[in-house]
Amino acid sequence: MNVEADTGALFQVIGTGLVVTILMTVVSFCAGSVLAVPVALMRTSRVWLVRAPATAFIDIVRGIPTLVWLLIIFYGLGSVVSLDPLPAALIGLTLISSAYLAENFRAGIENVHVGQKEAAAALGLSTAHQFWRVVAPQAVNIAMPPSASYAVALLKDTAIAAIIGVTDIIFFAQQEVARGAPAVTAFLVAGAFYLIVSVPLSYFSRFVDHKIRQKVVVV
Amino acid sequence: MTFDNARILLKADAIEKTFRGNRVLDGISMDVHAGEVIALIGPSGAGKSTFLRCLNYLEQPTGGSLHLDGEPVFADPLKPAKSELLSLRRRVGMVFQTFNLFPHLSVVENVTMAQRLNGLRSTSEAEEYALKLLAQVGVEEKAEARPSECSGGQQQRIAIARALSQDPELMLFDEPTSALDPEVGNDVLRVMRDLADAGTTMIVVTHEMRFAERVADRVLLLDEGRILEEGPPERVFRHPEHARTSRFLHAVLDR
Repeated sequence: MNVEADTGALFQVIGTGLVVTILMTVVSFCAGSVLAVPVALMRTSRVWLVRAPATAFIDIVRGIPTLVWLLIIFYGLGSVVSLDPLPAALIGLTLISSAYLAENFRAGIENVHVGQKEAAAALGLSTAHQFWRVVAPQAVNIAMPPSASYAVALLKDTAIAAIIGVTDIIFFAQQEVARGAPAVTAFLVAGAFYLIVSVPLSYFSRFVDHKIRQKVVVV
Repeated sequence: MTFDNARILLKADAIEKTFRGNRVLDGISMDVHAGEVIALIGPSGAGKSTFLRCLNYLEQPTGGSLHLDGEPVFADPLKPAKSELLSLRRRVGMVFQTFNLFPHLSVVENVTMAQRLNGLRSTSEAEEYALKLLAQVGVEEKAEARPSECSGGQQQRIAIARALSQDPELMLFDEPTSALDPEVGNDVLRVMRDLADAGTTMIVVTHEMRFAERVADRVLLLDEGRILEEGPPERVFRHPEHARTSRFLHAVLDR
C-alpha cells in the first residue's frame, strides 16, 4: 500500500471542504458582528425593558451548545421552510457569534473611560455624536482583540456543522473514513487544515492586540 | 481691574447638589462678570469640582438656577431640555484634570471635531482655526501626532485648544495642573495666564495658590459646599476673615 499517495489523496479530498469551513466562519462572523451592534446597544441601555431582552438573548444563545442549536434550527426551522444544511448552519452560527460579539462590544463600550463621554458632552456634542464619534470607535478598539480570538473559536465551532450534513472539512474526513481511510490519518489531515487557517488568524489577533495597545492609551 | 460696571456673564443662583442624601453643594450663588477670572479654592471634598461641573451640567444640580447674559439657561433647571443643554455647553468650555483627549483621533482632529459636528465651521475653516489655536498654546508641531505621543503638559494645552475651538464665552478649568509635574504645569499656567490677559472669562478650580494670587480677580474659598470666603486675592490671602481660611491657607502653603 502506498501510504504517501493515500495521504496525498486524503489532503485533496478533505481540502475541498476548506472553502465551506472558511465561508461559514467569515459569513457568520461578519453577519454576527452586524447583529451584535443593536444587541450590545440594548444591553448597555439604562432602561430595564430595553436591556432585559438583550440580556435574555445573550444568555439563552450562549447557554445552549452549538451542536444543539444547529440541530434545533435544521430540524425545527427545516420542518417549516425548506432549509439546506449550509443556510441552517449559517443562521445558527451567526446567532451564536452575535451573542458572543455583543458581549465583547458591551465590554468595549463600558471600558471606554467615563471622561471621554464627559469631554464630548462638555464640547456640546449631541448624544448621538458623543456615542458614535467618541465612545464607539474606542469601544471597537477595545473589543477587537477578544473578537479576533473569538473568530478562532468560531472557526473550530464550525466543525459541528458536519453533523447536519454541511460539506466542510469534517464532512469529507468522515466520508473518507467511511470509505476505508485510516481514521487517525483522515482526522489528522482535517486538523492540519484547521491549523492552516487558525494559526494565521491567531497571529493576526495578537498583531491587532499589540497595535491597539500602542494606539489607545487608557488614561 | 474692577468689574462693577461690567456685564454679568454668568449668574449661578443657590446651586444645590445632593448625592444620595449627601449634601455636597449647599446653595452656592455667584456672579461672574465678563472678562473676570475667578479662582475656586478650598479643601478637598469642599465641592469645588462638583460646583464647576454644575455650571455646564455635567452634574445636574438638585436645586438653583443658572443665567447666562441675563437669560435663564433652562426653562426648568430640574428638567433640562436637550437643546438647552447643548446650547449651554457650546457657550461654556471645559478643561479637565485628566485632559480627556480623544485617543483615537490626531491632535488636530481633537480640535476640529466639535467645530465640524456642531456646524460651527466648515472642515477647512475648522482645520485652519485648530492650527491657529494649537500655535497659540505652543503645540503646533504635534498637530498630526496622536495624543498618546504628547507629554502631559502638551496634552493639557491641546485640551485647552479643543475647548477654545467652540469660541466659548466662559472657560471652566477643573484642577488643570493637578495631574502634571510642576515644570510642565507651568507651561499650562502660562497659557491660562495669556488667556486671562486677553480678557477670557475663566473659573479655575485650583490648588496653585500663586496662580490664584497673581491671575485671579476674585478668589472664592469653598468649604463644606458653601462659600466660606470671597474677595480679591490679596485680601483673601493676606487678611482672611475666617480662622478656617487661615488654617487652609497655612496647610497648602506649607507644603
